[in-house]
Amino acid sequence: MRFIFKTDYDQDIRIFKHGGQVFWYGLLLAFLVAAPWLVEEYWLAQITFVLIYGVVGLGLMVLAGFTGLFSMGHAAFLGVGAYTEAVLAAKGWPFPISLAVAAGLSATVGAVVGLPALRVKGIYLGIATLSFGFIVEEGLARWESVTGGNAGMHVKAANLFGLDTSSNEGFYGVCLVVTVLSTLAVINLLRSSTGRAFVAIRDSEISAQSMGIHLARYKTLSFMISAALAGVGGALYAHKLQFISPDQFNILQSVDLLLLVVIGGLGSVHGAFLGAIFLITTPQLISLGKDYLPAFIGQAPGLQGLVYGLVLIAFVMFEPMGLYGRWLKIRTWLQLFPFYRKGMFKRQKSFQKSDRLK
Amino acid sequence: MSDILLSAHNLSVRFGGVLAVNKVSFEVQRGEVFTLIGPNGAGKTTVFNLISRIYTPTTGHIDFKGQALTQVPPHAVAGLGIARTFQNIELFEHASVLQNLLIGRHVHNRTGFWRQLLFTRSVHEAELTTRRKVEEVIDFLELQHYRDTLVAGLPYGVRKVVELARALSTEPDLLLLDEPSSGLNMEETSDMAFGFKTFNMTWASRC
Amino acid sequence: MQELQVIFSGIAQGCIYGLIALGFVLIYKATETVSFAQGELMMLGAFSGLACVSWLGLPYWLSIPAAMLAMALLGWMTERVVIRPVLGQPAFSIVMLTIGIGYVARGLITMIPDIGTETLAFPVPYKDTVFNVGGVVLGATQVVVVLATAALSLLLYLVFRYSRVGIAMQAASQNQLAAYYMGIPVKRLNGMVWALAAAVAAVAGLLLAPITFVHANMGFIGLKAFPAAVVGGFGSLPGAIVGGVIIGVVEALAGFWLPEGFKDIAAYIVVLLMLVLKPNGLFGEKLRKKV
Repeated sequence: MRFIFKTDYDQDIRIFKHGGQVFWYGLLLAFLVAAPWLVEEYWLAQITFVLIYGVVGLGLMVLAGFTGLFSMGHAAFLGVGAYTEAVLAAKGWPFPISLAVAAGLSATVGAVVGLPALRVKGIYLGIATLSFGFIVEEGLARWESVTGGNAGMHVKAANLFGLDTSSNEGFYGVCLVVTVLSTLAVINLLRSSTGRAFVAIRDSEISAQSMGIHLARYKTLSFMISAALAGVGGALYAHKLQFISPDQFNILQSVDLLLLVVIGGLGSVHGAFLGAIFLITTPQLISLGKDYLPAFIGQAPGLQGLVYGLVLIAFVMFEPMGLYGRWLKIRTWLQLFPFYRKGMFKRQKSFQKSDRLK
Repeated sequence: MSDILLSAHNLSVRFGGVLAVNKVSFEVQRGEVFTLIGPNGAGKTTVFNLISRIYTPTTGHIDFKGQALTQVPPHAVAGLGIARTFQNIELFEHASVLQNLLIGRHVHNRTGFWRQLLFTRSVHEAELTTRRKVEEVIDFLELQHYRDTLVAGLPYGVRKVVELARALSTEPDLLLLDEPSSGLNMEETSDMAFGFKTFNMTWASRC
Repeated sequence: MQELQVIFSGIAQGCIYGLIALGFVLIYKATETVSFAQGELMMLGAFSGLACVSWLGLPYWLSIPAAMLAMALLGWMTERVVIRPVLGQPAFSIVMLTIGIGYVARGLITMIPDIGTETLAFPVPYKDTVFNVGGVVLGATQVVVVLATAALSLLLYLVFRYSRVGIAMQAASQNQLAAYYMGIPVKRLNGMVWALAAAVAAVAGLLLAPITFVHANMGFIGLKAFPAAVVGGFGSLPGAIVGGVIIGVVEALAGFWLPEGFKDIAAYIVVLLMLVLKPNGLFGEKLRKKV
């Protein structure tokens, strides 16, 4: 059991609360840095995808998990970032600059998509973002002169000061750096006043206003940050896949991202990455398990959808705090062993109150 | 500088056909404990909402520290020095008591967005100052025991105190308390009354 | 003249959107949860109608109530098993749950051997009939859609407005705990509402099946029903239908007058305009929190 005796405000403000955390995260970072030498190419590629989806998930987590704003068309920002990067890479722009432009453009689109958020809430906002998602997808398909339309577009390798990023290992390094920086930026934001303002908006808009929080400004900011992160993820996604087409950024991709944050654990940074791991490993597990199932199940095109649906239902019903929530419970059990009490995380039975009056 | 902190002239507000507030005028002096009393439905909370700029008066105007309040947007009210508590507690349920109070310091914690991303020294300093100030409020209202508890799990009486603490964190010049003792028993009410008598003096002398 | 043709098919399509929207406005009015599974329920309704007609060999006029009953049962069971345990959780989680239900429904259908992955025709007695009204050709399939929608929405409106059940449902949606205290059997009502919504979805499926054929991805049409509900105003039953018809007509005209691609996003542009101009929809109510 660990008792943290606090004598200093810094202990609350710091990112790592105690030595144990420094050790474990340090180990994780060491593993990730050494990965190109430790794991096979195939798994390295999977880890790269986890990092990319983690960054995008981080963005959606800030918006939906921390600010409480429903975004059902998030793939649109992914698409904007991906195509911006693809177009600029084709023109030979250096990677850091094209990445910044991709993030900036996505952020601008995010601000536009966030405009309805200033007027409507809840499901209406969800439908507004859903609509934007469809419109952007269609726009990417129709703007053939720039995006190549439905035929898709090839993406050149990232131009990073002449370094070779076309290899698996090279690009993995790029993704790792971008992911670590993004995560640090988001964590910093969440432990300062902006992050708290987001949480305030999520829990009670009227009190947030009376505390001096400018609702419109912070909601727009949340959308912009979230879109920028999705744009960065999209840029990396474009280079990794080397070929993008508008149908990769459709409603199914948006729902996948929502699955990521819900299953990962809404309202936590860890949740973004746990959700990303879920999203990348589940199709692999399904492929592995397919052959053990009777043909009519194993070969059905809807199998992946069925598994996602069942997992989603199971998590919402039995573990609403997501994978991170489950991990917290396991960790508490381990820390308190054998004194863990059964009712520690018991959810209060809540009755439904009208959301319209919130 | 004038001694009059808040003045309302001929305030009226109409919601559709209902005249909720009818030509209300009053003045509140600096250092004064001014009370609005009336039966249920009289419009007391509505007057508060007018001062907090949640509603806009149909006629009349409000001045705070000599300046008109009628065009000020709702989020700017805290910055001017007005804090309020709500009749039906409006705390941030999924945050701890400490976080609620930290949010209360928002108007005093102005660091730029880009600096926050990098968590520069100035941001760090601002955070430390914020925490120090919040601890003063926690000490004053004896909330140490509940510092890290999620608000959703707190009993009603404690929530009332947290609501007050959060308002105090904004270091207001004017504190609006909406039915502060509703739902409290005799003992808690007399504690609160004693508190009001003393802290107007002690808190005001701190700032 | 062609415009009228286009408008009429837009109205018919819009009625389908309206019926699906009706389903989730029903659920929203009663439980204040939004169900993204209505599209898939419609698809299942179409399949069950097909099952009744093609494999059970029931006559058409018997298959309709049979399919509706089967779907109502499914809706009731879904509510009982999956929705009831999670009521009280934030709206976002429940929406995700219904998305999950949709995925499961779609996945399961594709597993039915030989049928799940095919597109199947739905034999209806009136399939080939057309009416010629002043030069405008109206397919019977479309006329039936419009008439059935009108009848169904009138019936539901009356139920909600005037019957005790309807008022009880509205009470339960606004404050569940208080409704319990008033002796309203909230759980039973919720089950009924889901059953009703599923039956309405089944009707939509049965009406749509002759037009678009029956296949596993039919449910995606349901996504267009959300703009319909928003345009009409989320708490309003007649609004759902009106919204649907508006979306249907705008879509049809967009396909007719505007370049390619606009037809697909017309519905979404309309909904965005609506949210800017009149966020609560045409018939929605503006509720404001009192503090």
